[in-house]
Amino acid sequence: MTSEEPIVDIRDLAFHYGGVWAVNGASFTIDRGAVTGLIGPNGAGKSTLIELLSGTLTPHRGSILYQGVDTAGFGPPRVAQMGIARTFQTARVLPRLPVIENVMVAAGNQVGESPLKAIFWRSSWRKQEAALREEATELLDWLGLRDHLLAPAGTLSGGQRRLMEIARALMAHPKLLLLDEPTAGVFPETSRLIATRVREIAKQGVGILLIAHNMGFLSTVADDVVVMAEGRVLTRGPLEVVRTHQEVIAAYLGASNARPELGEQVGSA
Amino acid sequence: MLFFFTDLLVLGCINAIMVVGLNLHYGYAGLLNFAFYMYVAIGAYIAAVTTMGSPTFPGVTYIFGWTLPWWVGLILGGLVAAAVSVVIFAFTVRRLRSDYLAIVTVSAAFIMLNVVNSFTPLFDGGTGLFNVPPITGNLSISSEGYSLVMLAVTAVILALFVWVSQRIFRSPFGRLLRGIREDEAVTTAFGHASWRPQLWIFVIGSFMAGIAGGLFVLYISAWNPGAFLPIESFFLLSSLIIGGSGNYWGAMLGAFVVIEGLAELSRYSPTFGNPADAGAIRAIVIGVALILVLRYRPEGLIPERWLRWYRVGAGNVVRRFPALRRNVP
Repeated sequence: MTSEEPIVDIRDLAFHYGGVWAVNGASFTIDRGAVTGLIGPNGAGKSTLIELLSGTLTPHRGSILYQGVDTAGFGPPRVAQMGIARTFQTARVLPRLPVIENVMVAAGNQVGESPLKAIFWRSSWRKQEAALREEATELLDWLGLRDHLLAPAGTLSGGQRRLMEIARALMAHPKLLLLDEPTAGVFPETSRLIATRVREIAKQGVGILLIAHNMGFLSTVADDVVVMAEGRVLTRGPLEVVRTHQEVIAAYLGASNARPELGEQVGSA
Repeated sequence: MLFFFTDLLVLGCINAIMVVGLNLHYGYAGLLNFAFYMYVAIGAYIAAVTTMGSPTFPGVTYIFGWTLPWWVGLILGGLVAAAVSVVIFAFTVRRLRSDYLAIVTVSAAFIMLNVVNSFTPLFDGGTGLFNVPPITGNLSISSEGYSLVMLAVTAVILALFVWVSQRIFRSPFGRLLRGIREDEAVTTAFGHASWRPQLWIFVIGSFMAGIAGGLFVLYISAWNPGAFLPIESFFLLSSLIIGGSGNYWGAMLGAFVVIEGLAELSRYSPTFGNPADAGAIRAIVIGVALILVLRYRPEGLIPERWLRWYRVGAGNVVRRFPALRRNVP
């Protein structure tokens, strides 16, 4: 597989909650080493799409080809083991655990998670544990949480929780990173730090899908923006082009004339 | 007087083993198990019937009667308790969460109680078992001497189980369990199915419960269904929460302070009304203590966070991008 191939190819994806089709025939690709922004009005299906990609939900129609494998129905643990990491729309922390443990728990293939080795064979995992602790420390330092390593995660502020979630996701060494509104309710300076870090992560070859509402933030991080409305992809392209798109303006202004056939414009820039 | 203290300490150690085991279930993994005393009872029964001889008294019936050495019976009790916990786990923990799990575990305890009570061939029904051989065998020994021997045995086993608890707490396995307890969605999203580590901790905790039950029956030499009323599980859980859920020192403190201290205190409280109300007074005292702790110190007397053992190095402040370095060829 060449690195030019997209990391994820979403084809005609559909999911409904009861009678409401949250995602209805969405198709687009996410490239390696690029930040793909995902925008759209409330109820457009953005968060449902992340839940589908992370395996929490199983699509009712369509496929998610991740590195050529359809992950539909795999469930979150298996999807995560394949190299997809995520953050949550409302930051989820393990409140009573120290920040460093919150991050370390995300690392894959930990020998000491085997109960018998944990109790009776400490030397089998001690070195790995030390390396993980060092890596978690570096990651948290890199994200500006150096002073909070041992603080219970429940004491972090909203912005710090967002940063910690990114550190946790990176601890899993993802190939695809799903960021669900990483700057929602975050102080502008922290938001700028997140933008810088997201760009640096993408430079390492990680594919990033990022939901955001703040156009200023998006313009600094996203290579490409996918616009969703009513469960479909309206259009895709660089932010400045997409912003002037008539249908996008209509969708954002609430005029419900986003016609279904516009879903066909998948991938067109 | 000496006997009074050694007796208290032996019972305290046995209770501490139970609470340390329950701490693995509830403190480490967040599994709200109200049937914990059921595993204690299973351990006690199995240890009793495997070390006793065949029934000799008329009208007394029980299974086995293998006259095995005490330590074999003790371990068998623990293993059977652990095996039963696997079955219970398959039907409850894997499918149910918190409050629902609690209801089902309470039901399981009542079912078990009723089966043992009414099916006499198993463990002699409501009359229960008595004349369980002491661990000193035929050696003639005073009750004071015996309590000293038992104190040594229980203390060693308690120390062993605390060591196991500590190993688990400080390991990635313990961290994963805490993660599942705090927010299962996070650990699941990072590649961990919850049931496997939960099953392991459930089995380990139940094994400890079985051992505690075996030690109990070997010490007091008798056991009947009246000894494992489901209320006992509430006392254990209360003492764990008061002592500090998630912290093995807290679990031990809870066992000694709540079960020993408060229970014994209420035994010596001035008698008024019917002396048979002592049990009710015990429940009231523990209930009040639980409410006070939950109101003023919800993490318990010795909180889990006091167990932080590691330091994060002050050096190696890194500004470069550190992630993914193990992926680089």
